[in-house]
Amino acid sequence: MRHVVIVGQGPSGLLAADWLSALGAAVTIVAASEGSLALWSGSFDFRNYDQDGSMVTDPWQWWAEPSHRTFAQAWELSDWKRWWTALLRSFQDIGLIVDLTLPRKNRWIVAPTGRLRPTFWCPPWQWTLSSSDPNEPVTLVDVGSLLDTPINWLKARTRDDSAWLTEAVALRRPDAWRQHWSGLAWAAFLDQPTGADWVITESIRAREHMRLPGALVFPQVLGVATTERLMQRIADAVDRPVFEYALMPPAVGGIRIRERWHKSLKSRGVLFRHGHVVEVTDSGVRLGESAGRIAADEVVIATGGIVGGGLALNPEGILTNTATGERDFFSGELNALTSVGVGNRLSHGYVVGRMVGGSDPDRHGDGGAMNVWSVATAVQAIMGERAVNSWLSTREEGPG
Amino acid sequence: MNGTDACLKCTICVSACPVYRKDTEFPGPKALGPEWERRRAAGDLIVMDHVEDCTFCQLCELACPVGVPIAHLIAEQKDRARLRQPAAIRLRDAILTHPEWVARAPRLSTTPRFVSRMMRLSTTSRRPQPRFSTAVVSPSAREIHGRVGLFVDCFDRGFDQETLSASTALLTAWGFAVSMVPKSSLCCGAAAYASGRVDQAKRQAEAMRAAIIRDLPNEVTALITLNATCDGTMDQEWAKYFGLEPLPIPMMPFHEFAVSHAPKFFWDGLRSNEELKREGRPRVWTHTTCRGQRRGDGGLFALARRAGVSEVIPLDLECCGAAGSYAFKTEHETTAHRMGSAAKDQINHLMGELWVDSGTCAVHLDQILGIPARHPAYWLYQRWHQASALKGIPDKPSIEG
Ligand code: SF4
Ligand code: SF4
Repeated sequence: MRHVVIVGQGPSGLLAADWLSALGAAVTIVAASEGSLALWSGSFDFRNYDQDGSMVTDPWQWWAEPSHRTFAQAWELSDWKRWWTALLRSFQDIGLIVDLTLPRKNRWIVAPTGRLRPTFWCPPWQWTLSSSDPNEPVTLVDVGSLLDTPINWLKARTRDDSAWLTEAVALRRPDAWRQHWSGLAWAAFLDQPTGADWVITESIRAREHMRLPGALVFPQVLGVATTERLMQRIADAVDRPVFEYALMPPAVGGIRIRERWHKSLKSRGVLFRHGHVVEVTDSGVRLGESAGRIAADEVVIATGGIVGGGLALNPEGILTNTATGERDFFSGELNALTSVGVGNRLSHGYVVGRMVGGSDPDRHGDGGAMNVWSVATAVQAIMGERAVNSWLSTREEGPG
Repeated sequence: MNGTDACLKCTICVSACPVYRKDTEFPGPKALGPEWERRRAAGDLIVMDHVEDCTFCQLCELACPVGVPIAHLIAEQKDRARLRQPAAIRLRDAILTHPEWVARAPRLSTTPRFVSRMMRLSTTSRRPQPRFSTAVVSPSAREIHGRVGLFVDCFDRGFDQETLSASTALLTAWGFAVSMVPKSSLCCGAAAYASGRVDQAKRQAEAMRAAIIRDLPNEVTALITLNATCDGTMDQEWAKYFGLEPLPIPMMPFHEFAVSHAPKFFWDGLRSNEELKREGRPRVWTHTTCRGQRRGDGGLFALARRAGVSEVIPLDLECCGAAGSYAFKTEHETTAHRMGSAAKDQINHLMGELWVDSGTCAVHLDQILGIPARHPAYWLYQRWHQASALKGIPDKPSIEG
């Protein structure tokens, strides 16, 4: 059995653990802190913007262009299709209700900043629009003044002719409400029976004031553990589809995914170790504070690039600490996806995440694709193409 | 304390806090820790409401990407908040933060209800009942590999002699001579620190450290622990927050020692026994306590699998709510019970046992979930005892202190 140590537990670390354990590897995740899932709405970008900043509406078409294949191991569209499907199957397995049909085009979401932005795939609870100038009617729900985030978008929209297509209804605050409640505190409240009853009662009351026939869109507060059931109950009560838009962190969408993923990985025997990896060698990793070594046949470095000392790999193969800008303490031979040395020791490991191969996900909107591509490539290298291909074919055909 | 002003305001700690999810009034780790600290540094000495509702599980700290000592800042705030508390609560906390007194006279824990109410001790959280040593100690070792120390925490000393003798029996069977330390009833300081009695915790820690060093024979190579909270306090907080020198020998939780040191014949014996009686074997649930997660999660699962248990289910629970003496306080019982109940949906089978790396948490979960919950040393011993009985290996007592 192959022992793999994965350093980091953000989206790419958990995805690597998911796929590697499904393929039969013994996986240990080592992390010094929680990953970035609590900062993430759960959406995956494929490619949102061209080099010059213009919008990409059809990411499939964009990636079909040979000059856009920037990696050493460029993928065909069929590869993208297989691996995106594998991702959605993994989300099904951890308990999300996911439609396996891949999106044809980018859709639009209201970002936590209140601006519209494109994305490729997002979890089923997320409200999406088919264009940036939508003519779909929508009723926004204001829950205890949490409406302030999409208010910019709402204002921009009410200025033009489509104004009549948007309306807002307010729910009265529950007695338990406190000034300091974040979206997560709301979600925790709605996970409890009293909270669920409150939101149903209030939604039915608010229905009297709804003039538009469209979807009812809440801020992202509809529970953490009970989301799907709760959304269904509200939809039944108001007789229209119910969605959410994402809020500022703590991001309830990412937390829902994190908790289901952790639970699933633990029940498959994936070990979680807490610790700082200070050295990667060809026989495993060494932890700081004399916490010892963990032996492994392979090491996957998934320390991300969002907060606190993530690692990013640039096209020259240099690994940079994104928090400090430090780069000299890593050395070693690097090719596309890659052997890296940490702590001035030559060693082997695969770097995965949204910031590999010179990608600039914040500018290009391709972070999700980078996660999927880098993890898939590492998994193929570790488990062998044959094993991976036969596993992938069962993922495509098997029942949902 | 290092890193007190490093907060990036990312809110990841908030997403990890179990109390924040169950108590709608709780302001959360970011507000109570780094944000309070910034105000304090600017000269504002006001303490916040609900600071006492933090369980000191430290999950917020494990989650923080930049190492802010969030829970320990909250403990300092609790220290200041104590002055505003009524005398009855101060008296109660004085007792609860001295578990070593209760361990000397465990029957004290069964206070009459009216006394409990007066002292604001929870009347719904089950208090532990002493379990005396009933384990018959199994065979003497075939080979002696060395001597280990077995750390006797207050809970096991007072209430669970059974787990202590089971642990000794297993270690002996694996070829280790066992010395129990400390010889007298002392506390590592965890309970006092959790209640914000920082100076008292430090004094308790110093006394404990001196006693361990005095009582440990020279040839001991490792100190084995049965309680994740004490383990974390001694291994990490003593050096980091009390400035104590580390103990001269490494510390290791019992279940990790088992996986790395128990010989092959032991696991083979357990596995063949498990297979023989596959029909009707109990389902095993595991819970790594909040303080056990300092080292990681999944170790108990691996242990049960190693012992041949075919169906192992990790409880979907970050902190059960017992958290030392938290559940024993009236003002916390609702939150504590809500926290533990989160795992109720997973208990879908009548025959089962729960493996927990802390005795106090086990008592709490046993009550809330209605399945027998004990330390894994106890469960392993039960299996080993069965397996050896089947093979006709003689049981004879060989405990030494
Ligand atoms: S120590 Fe535990 S209960 Fe206290 S704030 Fe941190 S996570 Fe919450
Ligand atoms: S996790 Fe750490 S850095 Fe982030 S808000 Fe909490 S204390 Fe601040």
